[in-house]
Amino acid sequence: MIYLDYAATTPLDPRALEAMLPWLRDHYGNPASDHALGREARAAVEQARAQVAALIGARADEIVWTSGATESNNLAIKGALEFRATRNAHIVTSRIEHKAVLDTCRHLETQGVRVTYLRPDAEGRIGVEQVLQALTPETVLVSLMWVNNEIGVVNPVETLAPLLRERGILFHVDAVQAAGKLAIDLERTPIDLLSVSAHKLYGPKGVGALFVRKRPRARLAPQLHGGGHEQGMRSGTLATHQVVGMGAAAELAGAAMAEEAPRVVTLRDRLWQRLSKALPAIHGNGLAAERAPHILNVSFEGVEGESLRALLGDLAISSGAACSSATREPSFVLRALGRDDELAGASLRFSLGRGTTAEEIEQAAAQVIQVVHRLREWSPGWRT
Amino acid sequence: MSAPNAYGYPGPIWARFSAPTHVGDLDRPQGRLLLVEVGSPSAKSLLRLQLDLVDGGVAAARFKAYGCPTTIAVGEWLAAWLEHNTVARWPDLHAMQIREALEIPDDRAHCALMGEDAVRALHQQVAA
Repeated sequence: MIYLDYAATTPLDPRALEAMLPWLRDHYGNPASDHALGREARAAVEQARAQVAALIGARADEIVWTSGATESNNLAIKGALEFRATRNAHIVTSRIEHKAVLDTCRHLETQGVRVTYLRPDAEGRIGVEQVLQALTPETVLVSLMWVNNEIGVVNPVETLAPLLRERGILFHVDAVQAAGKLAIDLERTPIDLLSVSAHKLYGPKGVGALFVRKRPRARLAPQLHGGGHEQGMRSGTLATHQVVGMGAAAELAGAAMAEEAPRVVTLRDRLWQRLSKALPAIHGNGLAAERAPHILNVSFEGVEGESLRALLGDLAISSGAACSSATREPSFVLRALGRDDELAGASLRFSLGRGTTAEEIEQAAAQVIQVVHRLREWSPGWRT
Repeated sequence: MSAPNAYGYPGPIWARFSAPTHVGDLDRPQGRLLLVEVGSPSAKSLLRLQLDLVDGGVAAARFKAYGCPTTIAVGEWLAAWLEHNTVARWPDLHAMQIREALEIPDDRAHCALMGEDAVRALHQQVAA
């Protein structure tokens, strides 16, 4: 099995696991307790908070622990809107966001919030002018993903952030596919709210974080009520081991990024080179745009998507509707790029990571080339 | 090339889809060449069957298909079935028999219907 689905999840870094284990075995104190066991757990939690903050150029007290990026996105969007009262409020987001953003916005629409869903351009990007033109006097929040999870295209969030700040509009960024892959410096980039997930950067599943800016303060209404943990924004006893694992993973990802990003880009580009040289009538999606290092999305003409996927059982890759594979909906981003439903279904997302080797890329390319040739030979309609 | 059945297709479907032996075209038929093409527009699938009909029997059958693994498995199964059954038996073939032979689940029943349509169309050609 060749794993090329690092955008879906990453293996837990053994060093992160080692950091977690003491907090599962012996150090069971509640970080909110005042006694010695509690204090040592709290110290570990705060160290992890600083580690995550360092990865994104934030202050430690701007990090709120959550159960993952879905909760981070919910807290950011619902929390921001609820704090300001939803009546007549307006949100700008895009049609290519993760479901955790889209469904949250749809929920808010049932509460009277108006939402504008921007369409991406022909490369899958959301433009700066496009966002600015969608703003109204009632716009309180813009929510955009930094890196699109299906095709890896980078949205211009760094350019947008100061423009939205000037206008007094909160800016939330889903940075799940960006953190640990691209340099993020929130000290310089005035994003107000930013979601990250541990398991996308070699940390454990079930833990994430939301950056909530202190100056100027981004105010949120809590979505989980209880003991007032996390500065009152997210109640619930912290899972020390998870948090420690995320902290360790964040530090490791930050340290590895400068070396890892160009290595992965080389492998990703090698994969595209192999495929495009051997196979006519394939389309690299979003290739003309700025892209994150780790994602390559390719559509294959003349093959049916399910058969393509089935014959590539040796490869762990996402196909067609990538992250919406549970519902099998046609990918909006691929359709925006001009791919019809059939071609969008015959698309593969290769996402590379720390464990990806040149040999694996060669083997994966060879398998894809062989299977596409084979299915085209079998097809009555394929012109040879 | 043998890929693992990673997505859990029923064994009979997987066996025929992953290693078909009847794919291709009949370039030099010894007898009468029959050709039929049927499709399932909603599923965007297409099945083409070619038969070399010699003395009322099928000397060779070949198929080509575009579609899901079940569509391709139906093509392979039909080509083999046609090689072993005389024209007189063709009208007896129903979609349910194809479904049972290949263990086709309900949500892919249309693939078996497409197979039945193909054999009926072939029979009409012979009868014409």
